[in-house]
Amino acid sequence: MALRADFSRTFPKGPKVEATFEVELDCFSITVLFGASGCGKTTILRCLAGLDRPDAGVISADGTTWFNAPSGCFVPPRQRQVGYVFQEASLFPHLDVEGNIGFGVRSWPRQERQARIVELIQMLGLEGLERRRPADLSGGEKQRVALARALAPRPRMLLLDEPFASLDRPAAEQLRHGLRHVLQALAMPVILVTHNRDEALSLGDRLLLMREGRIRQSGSPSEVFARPDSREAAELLGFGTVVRTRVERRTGGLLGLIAGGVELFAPDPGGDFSEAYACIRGEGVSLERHGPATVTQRNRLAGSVTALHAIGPLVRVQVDCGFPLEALITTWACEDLSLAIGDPVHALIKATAVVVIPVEV
Amino acid sequence: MDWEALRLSLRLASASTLLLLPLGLALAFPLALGRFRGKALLEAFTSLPLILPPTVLGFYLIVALGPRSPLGQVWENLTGSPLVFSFSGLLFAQVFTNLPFFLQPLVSSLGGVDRRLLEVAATLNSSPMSTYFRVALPLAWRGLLSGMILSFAHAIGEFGVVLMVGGNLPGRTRTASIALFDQVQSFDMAGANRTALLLLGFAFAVLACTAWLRAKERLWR
Repeated sequence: MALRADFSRTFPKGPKVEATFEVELDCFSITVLFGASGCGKTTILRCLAGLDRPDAGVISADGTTWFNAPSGCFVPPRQRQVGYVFQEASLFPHLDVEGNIGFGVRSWPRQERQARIVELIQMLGLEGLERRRPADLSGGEKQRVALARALAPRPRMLLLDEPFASLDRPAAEQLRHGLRHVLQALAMPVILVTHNRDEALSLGDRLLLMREGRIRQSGSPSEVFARPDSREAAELLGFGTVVRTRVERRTGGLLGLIAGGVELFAPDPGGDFSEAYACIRGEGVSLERHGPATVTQRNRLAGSVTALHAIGPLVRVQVDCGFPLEALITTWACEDLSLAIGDPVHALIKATAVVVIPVEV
Repeated sequence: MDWEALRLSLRLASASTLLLLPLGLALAFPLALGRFRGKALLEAFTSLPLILPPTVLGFYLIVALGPRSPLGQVWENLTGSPLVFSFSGLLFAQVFTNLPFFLQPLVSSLGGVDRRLLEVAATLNSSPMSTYFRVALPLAWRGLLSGMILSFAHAIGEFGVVLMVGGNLPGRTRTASIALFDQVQSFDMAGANRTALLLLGFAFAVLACTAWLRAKERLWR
């Protein structure tokens, strides 16, 4: 009982998008397709739904073939029982909320259809909006109606294409918060496309990391976020510092890496390599002005502040300590240290906060 | 004023618009939303009456509808009267001649419907035909209305094809625009003036109406 996909689609003047994965049907799970915009995430969803046709490969669900390139088999979207929510809610503007939700169940007997509509209106908290036209709904309401509309015919699988991207932050938070709860009760797999890290981490059970049209890494979101296996993946996953280093020494499970003339300690992943990327999250770096010289942090690097960017309650501090290092600290910490550009600082990094990715030769 | 001719014009235009409705709806679907081999050819064929001199069109219609053509023979066997120089023959001619005036606004409106909505419908268990009638057409109703108004108005005004295929038989094939021609030929300038003014006013009102519909549609999107 699984959806099996192994296909590729080549665009005439663009990239090739390839996907090979399986998703269990008939049980709840959220698979996140994570990657930068334009890396082919949406193409994969469209191929699964039957809105796009791959050039090669096969897609099957429960042993039923949906697409098979050699035999030319192609099941149209309406026979795949797949719910699809687009980035923009794309509600039918000529129908009211009830009409939109009921669109996919219009062939059901009248009473069943009405009951289903009422059920979904309650499930998604749309009471009182039944007669509204899409033009009179807020962004969050529209997206909830779109979700209800996709769920109405009881699909076997739900595909969500950046469903929060067009919403403002509070509306997105609210919808994201309720979504997992709503979907959990429905016992169907969900594939969620996003380029938002919080979304991937908070919603996903499994993460497929995509880059340049291919799935590069997969695993549980926290695992993938903690252990990127390539420089590009590290950058995509929000490691603010990715620097190429040379292995100076290996002692007791620790590596001494030389970057920009300074030595950086990191756990040794094992294997034979002489150069590696050191990847550090901004959150893993603390800053001090004249702190004690003896701290538990393995790495204490002297440098100077080159840039400060406020992002919400946090400040991203760029430090030049032989190589460019990024630190993410709170606005309060920044004020306590009264940091300004050009100030000398010490950057403290736990050795375990440095992820080492060997350079392939 | 030749009221008989005017009545005939109205009857002919109404009937041809009514016939155009199913034909136009059937053709607009593949033209606006389809992707198939020979789409350009179909588009060119249905647009022919826009460019072709009415005499050329009329000539081929006479050939196609004439007593020796298959269509003309079938018709004569069925009804006992020839197709050319009759109201029915004129109706055939009008439907073909006015097809592009019906199709163009409708196809353009359909083309403006967000493709995403059609895809949504497809994922909601909707066949292409059902999507056409439930989503595309309701959203393109202004184009449909424009098409009906324009083809009706053009049917009222058509001269060349009517003259070629219908001749000039009072009460049967002499329409208002042909009556005007007769009035001028017989130096009835006062009568011609009235007929011309009526046709002018009508055409202007119709164009203003469709322009308004189009402006509304743009606002609405």
